[in-house]
Amino acid sequence: MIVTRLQQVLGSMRPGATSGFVAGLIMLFLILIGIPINIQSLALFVLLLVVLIFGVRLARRAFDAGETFGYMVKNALALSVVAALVVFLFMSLINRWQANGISVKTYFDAVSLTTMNVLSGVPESDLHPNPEKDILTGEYPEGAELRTNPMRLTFDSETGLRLKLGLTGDAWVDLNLGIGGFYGFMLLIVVVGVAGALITWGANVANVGRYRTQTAGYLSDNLIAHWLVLLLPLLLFGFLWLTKGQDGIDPIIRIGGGGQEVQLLLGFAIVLFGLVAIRAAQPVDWGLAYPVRVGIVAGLVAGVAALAIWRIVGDGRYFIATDGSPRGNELLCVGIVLLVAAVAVVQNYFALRTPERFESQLAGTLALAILLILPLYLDQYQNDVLTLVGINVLLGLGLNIVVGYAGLLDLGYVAFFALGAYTYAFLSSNQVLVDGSGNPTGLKFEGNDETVIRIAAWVFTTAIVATAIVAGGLYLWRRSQSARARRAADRRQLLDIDPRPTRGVTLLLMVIAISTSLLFAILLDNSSLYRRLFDDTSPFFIGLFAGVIVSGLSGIMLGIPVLRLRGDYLAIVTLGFGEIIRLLFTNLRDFTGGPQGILQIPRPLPENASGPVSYLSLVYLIFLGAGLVAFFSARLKQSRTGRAWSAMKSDEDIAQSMGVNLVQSKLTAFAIGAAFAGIGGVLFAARQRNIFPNDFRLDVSIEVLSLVIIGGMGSIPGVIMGAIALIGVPEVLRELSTYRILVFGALLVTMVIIRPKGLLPAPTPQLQERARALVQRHVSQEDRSP
Amino acid sequence: MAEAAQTRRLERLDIDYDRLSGRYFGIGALLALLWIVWVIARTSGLFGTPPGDELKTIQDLISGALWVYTGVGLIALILILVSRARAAESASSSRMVINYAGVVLFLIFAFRVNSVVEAEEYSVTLWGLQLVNGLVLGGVYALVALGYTLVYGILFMINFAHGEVLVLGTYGGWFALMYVTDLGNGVFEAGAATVATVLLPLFIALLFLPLETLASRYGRGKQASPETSSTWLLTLFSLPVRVIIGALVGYGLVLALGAYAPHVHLVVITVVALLFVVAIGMLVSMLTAVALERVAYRPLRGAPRLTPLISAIGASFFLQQTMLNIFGPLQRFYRRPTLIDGTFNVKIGSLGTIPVTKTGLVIVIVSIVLMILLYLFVQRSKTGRAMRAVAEDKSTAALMGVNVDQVIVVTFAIGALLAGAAGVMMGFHNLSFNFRTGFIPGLKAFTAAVLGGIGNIPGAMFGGFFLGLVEALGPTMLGIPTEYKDVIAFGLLVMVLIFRPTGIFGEVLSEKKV
Repeated sequence: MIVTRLQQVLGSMRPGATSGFVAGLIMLFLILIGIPINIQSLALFVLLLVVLIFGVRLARRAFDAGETFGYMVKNALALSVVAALVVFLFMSLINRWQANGISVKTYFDAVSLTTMNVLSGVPESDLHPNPEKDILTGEYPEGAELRTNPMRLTFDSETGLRLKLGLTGDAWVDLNLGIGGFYGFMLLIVVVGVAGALITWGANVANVGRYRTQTAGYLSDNLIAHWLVLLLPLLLFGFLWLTKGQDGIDPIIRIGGGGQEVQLLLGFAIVLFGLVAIRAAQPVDWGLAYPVRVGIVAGLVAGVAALAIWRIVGDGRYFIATDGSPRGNELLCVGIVLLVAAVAVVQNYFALRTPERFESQLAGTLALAILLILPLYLDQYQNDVLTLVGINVLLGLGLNIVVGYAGLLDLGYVAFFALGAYTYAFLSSNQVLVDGSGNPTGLKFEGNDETVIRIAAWVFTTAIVATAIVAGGLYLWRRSQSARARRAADRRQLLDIDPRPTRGVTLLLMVIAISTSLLFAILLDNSSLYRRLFDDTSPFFIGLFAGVIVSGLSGIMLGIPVLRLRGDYLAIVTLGFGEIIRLLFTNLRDFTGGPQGILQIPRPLPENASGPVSYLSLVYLIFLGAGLVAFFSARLKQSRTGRAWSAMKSDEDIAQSMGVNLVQSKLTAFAIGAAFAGIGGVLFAARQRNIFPNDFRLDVSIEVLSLVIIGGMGSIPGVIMGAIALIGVPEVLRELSTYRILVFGALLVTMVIIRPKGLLPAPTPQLQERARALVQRHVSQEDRSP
Repeated sequence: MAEAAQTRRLERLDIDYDRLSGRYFGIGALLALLWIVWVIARTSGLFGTPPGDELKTIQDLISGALWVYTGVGLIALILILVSRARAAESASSSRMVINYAGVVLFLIFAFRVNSVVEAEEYSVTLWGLQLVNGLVLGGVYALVALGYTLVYGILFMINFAHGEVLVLGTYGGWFALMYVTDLGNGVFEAGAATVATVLLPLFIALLFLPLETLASRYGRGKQASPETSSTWLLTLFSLPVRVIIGALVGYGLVLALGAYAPHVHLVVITVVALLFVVAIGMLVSMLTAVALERVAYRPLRGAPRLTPLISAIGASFFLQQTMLNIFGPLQRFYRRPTLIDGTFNVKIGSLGTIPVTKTGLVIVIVSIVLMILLYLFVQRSKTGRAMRAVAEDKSTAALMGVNVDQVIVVTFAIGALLAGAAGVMMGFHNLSFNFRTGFIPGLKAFTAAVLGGIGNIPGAMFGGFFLGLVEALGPTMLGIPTEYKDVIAFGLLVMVLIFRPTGIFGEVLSEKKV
């Protein structure tokens, strides 16, 4: 009788016990990977948080399933007790080892006396191993200091468990919980678990939480909240300004401790909320006239530009000229104003014509303008982190094309990154690479190398002029064709319009393009203009060009053998390719310096530039690069190639039967993705100034893949957000940097299960939305008509 | 005029050129391999030192035949392509071209091996050593490849994290090894004695458990009812009594061996303790794989192809980093008990001796035994039948009453058991390991699985040994430094995927699943 009753009671507690077991394992996992060692007393908070979450989850589930209060309490108790027991079993083993002087580190690298200290409150000096017992008497020697047994429960405010909340240095909360010993920790687990469950139960009974979730549309309905979101980047920037101050004005708000990190986080938040604001903008007509709209946006831009100029002029460090003359300052100011104005004009010309786009244009322009002057307000360390994030954004955008647009899972992406970096390093490093017998093997390009500059000038000119003519010609042709189509439609005639030009037109266009560009190149060669343009040019731009070409070509070379592979096979082969490239770079010592890498790579600016200009130029270069790449990939998505990729991603066979040339699409995707990686590689080499094969491990590929997937596959704001969240934030939280890739792996698995579209997913295709809106309107019209 | 007639003639012949070119590729490959084997055998002194001249003639014949074969193939290819272009046939010739390119590659490969081996003239002992190394490597790869192939056969996804499961087995075995050594205060054999004293009786007692079912099944086969079976003696005693008898017998056996046959005793307890270590390693691997399936793969059953793949990659890196954080980046070391420490020297006639490590021998034997067991399990047992059914058609198997979820868990578990065994044996063989040790073997084992035809169990076994041999013999044959052996393995993968994507034994899956 008693047995069956016991079985019944225990059986009803099974869900709680199993959850408790899982919770205990998670806590054990956190202890084993060394969280208590890395974040000390904050670990207590984290571990208790785990139990709390499980307790809340249990109570919520029980309430939704309609269970009784008693059932919930029993299970919450079971949960907490089992979790505490699991941790206890392990820690008692560790305690025994520590007491007997057995080195725990040989078994578990991340468990030490600190762990025991954090989990029991006993100071580390008291946790030394017990002294050897006397062989004869079997007792401890006289006056020996015994180890304080942490397996105890005390109510001591001196050596109790401490709860500490804070990033670095000064903590925001630091209180002594008054309970000590490991059993005290177990007691806390039980208390927290049960309390969490009880509170959740009570909240559910009082219907508190439900109310808030039911008003999910709160934000979009409320006008103030909506405008708050739109203007949040501006507010955050204001806050940043207040903490930074300016030359002549002290910072009004001071942040102690990790001030630099907080400012950097603010910078990230500005960019993030800029993206969110663009998304949150509604297509609403505010009833303002076109000049008013332009005036508001232009006023914003002017204000931001003025801020930038004030910063530069006010702070006497932004010189370009090395002799200290003020000429540099003025040049910078003019440059900034022009840049910002150009951005504003280009972005707004077409868009502001449509009244509905006002909000999104406002948010976008504001975000872009603030982003452009943000580096002026950050110091060198913060700008370095910004450059890293920027490079990863570039890489992410490149991989976004391969994985997100074309659906080709490329795990060897780091190979193209490495190729770009090594190409630039090879061409520009001041280090002399020698082979085994001391003969130089490197290929260093000096800034005033006559032949190379002439070739570069020719290539650049012909490429630019020819592309311009061809693009212009195609555009004009397309406009004339659509005009023809419109005229035919007006006359109610059906006309089959092919936007591609006929063979004759193409031939004519090519002839014009080639002849004109050759003419330009010859003229340029005969004048001394190219010499003045390229004289003392930094090898950076030549290196950039070469890097892009090399990566692009290698992308095609990788693409050819893997054309017929799908899914998993493609992933493994590209992974192998990435590893092969790294192995080659490590072993071909003569050309790549082997594991010692290539050193002394120059920055884009002349080396004797001093002050903030040296790192600011890199930041702005990276912004420019990332911006161009983002623009390019956005336009690609809308193009024919992008649509072919989209079809290929959904189903290759159907796409092929619909007329998509699979070979061309795949190769294009690989080539463009690789070229973008090459740009990133060159910028990376310029940032790091020394590159080693170890910088291009598989981990980098996985990091870039994570930020594409977690941010949102196929979505440009998603990639930016992914880069900030996964690369920028860990740079700030340096204590937890050992867990970076661990978190990436866990996030990949979690995000793919919970939210496969990513954090900032690509918006649904406009055509679908328009069709849906049309149908809605039609239906509502039908409803109204009698 | 003649060409047009020829075109018509070729068309009328109605030959399936793709299959023909496939056969052409096969024969060309065999010819090249024959050449390679012959030149190696000749120069290493297998046919006697110094080798006779007629052997060189035969070698030249073979190589000449291959050259002629390739040339004829080129002419035939050009003719066919031209005829197709003239007839404006829309059939794709890419398969033919690829197969021909494969033969050319084999020719280049054989030529290179020929020049290297003629120049270097390695001895039989060297080749034998590399052969043995290859077999040892192959055993490990085969065991791990089976894990990949089993999972792919059922779920059509590559379990990227299988390499990590492998090395987790090594870690588990390490902990068990440390435990046994600590029991013996630093001497493995002393600890082994304690362990064996507990485990051997348990093991023998457990042997008595299924005797009843076995007996009744055997009995039922012969007679109508179990009561009149001939194995009445075993059914005489009830279960607990039998277990106690078994335990006593085991304990007695240990004591008797210790007293009267110390050498055998030592061997027995070392073997039992080693089995214990391997079992713990296998257990750890199995638990990891089961948890992995539950957390990372089961929620994504119906998702598009890309999603479980990404989840697998994330899980792989998560496990790797977990190991890094828990166990640290430094190498850990196994210690070999004296029983398996050392090498045999195998004499080959008068040519020399090949050193074969004891651990290597154990690996090869255990791999083969485990593979045979697996094969029997999949072919004969009920669960094996269920696995094959689910691999063939999941929904129909579910309709037939197969618990698909359970079968999938069992598949993962079996694959992990094999990988765990491989991991522990690798630990004993290589002695040092750390958290990254599983990554490259994992990739190579996947290569092996693809080589043999993914989804195909004998194929995975063959692929494993084949890859091991290629990796061991390849650098020597091609005359490149051994650091590039990973490059060879990946290169082989790319080659196989280009030239023969269905693997050497062909896939057991239908075309559309590729």
